[in-house]
Amino acid sequence: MDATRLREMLEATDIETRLTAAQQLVLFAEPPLDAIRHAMEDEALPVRTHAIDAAAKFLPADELVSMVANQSNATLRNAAIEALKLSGERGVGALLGALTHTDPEVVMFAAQILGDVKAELPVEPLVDLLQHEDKNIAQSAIETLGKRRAIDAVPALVGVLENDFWLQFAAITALGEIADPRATLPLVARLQDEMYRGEAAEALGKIADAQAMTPLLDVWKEDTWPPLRARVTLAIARVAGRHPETLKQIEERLTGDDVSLLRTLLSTHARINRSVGA
Amino acid sequence: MPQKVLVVEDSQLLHRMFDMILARGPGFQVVHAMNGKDGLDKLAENPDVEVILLDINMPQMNGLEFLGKIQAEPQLKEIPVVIVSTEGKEEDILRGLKAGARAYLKKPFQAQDLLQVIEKVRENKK
Repeated sequence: MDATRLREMLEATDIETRLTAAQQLVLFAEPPLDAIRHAMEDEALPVRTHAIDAAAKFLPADELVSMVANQSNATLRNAAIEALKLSGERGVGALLGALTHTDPEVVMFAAQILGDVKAELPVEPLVDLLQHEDKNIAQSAIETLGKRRAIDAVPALVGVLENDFWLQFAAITALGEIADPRATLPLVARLQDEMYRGEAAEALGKIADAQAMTPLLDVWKEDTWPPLRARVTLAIARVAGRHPETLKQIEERLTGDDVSLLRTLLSTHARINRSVGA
Repeated sequence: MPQKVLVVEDSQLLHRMFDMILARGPGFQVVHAMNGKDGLDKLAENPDVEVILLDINMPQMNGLEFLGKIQAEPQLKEIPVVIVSTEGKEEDILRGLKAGARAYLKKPFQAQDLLQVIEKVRENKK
């Protein structure tokens, strides 16, 4: 198939013809870039999906970033975002450059996209965004640092725990993803606030530091809301899984039926984990 | 029976935040969708959704496309939609309201703001 025929097919009224053409885009050594751009705006999602794959491979990353900046064309913007996520190493330079774009939405999207890019990249530009006055940008940077398990960002993320709800919640989640024990005690403090308790408990479970066992048991005893208790139970199971010696604290912190209830729940967790090979 | 809220949003973090704000005190049951297409599927499975919280910028099907689809369905167009988005310029808000949304909440928001806007659209529905 030549480029002229490809363009004709992408203009067809029937989706099957357009889809066949879109599927061919990645097979060209040098596909016509205008055809890729055109297909990225196709009304049919399957056509757009193939165009996105081609865009990730062939369109200049800077051009994809400029499409993200196009607020008047949501379809193209979203397609460019997906293409940049798939662009790997090719996209990193343009995305890092976009972190200082004049349009705050572009900065936010770039920070988000970097969380999904499969490539090595420096963490510092994202850490710098934690102090951005635009909280959506700061939140995007926090989320990405968590997704990338950015261990060097832990002190800065712990600092964000003093911030407001929008950023604090994100930082708790990110610290759980990174799972560095330097975050244990700051996260334990967040168990006191009902707003963050579930998220903090889950993060502490992921870190699985023995220091978290006693505070988790105290929360388990005091807060009986079932969805919260389920998360705390899982966190306790994870800590106990790594530090079995902490299980004796159950009898130290709990009394009566609570002891047997928690022991039963934990053994259920252990059985499930064994059966799924966890 | 808890009231159902459908959250259509591509950020996992935002889903967790919505869960935390809506499930505990107010006692809503939260139904999660990761984009507009997923949102339509979840509406088909949950015809008793009371309110929809809708992001705009999402992959596969964005918020305005989703809104257009549900406005075309007589049984779906009565469900109040609150757009929850980072886009907060006046033209963005007007575009969303013109497309059929009942209210608009700009990110970042406080928990109380979210609860108030949900209460308002539910009251207006009655």
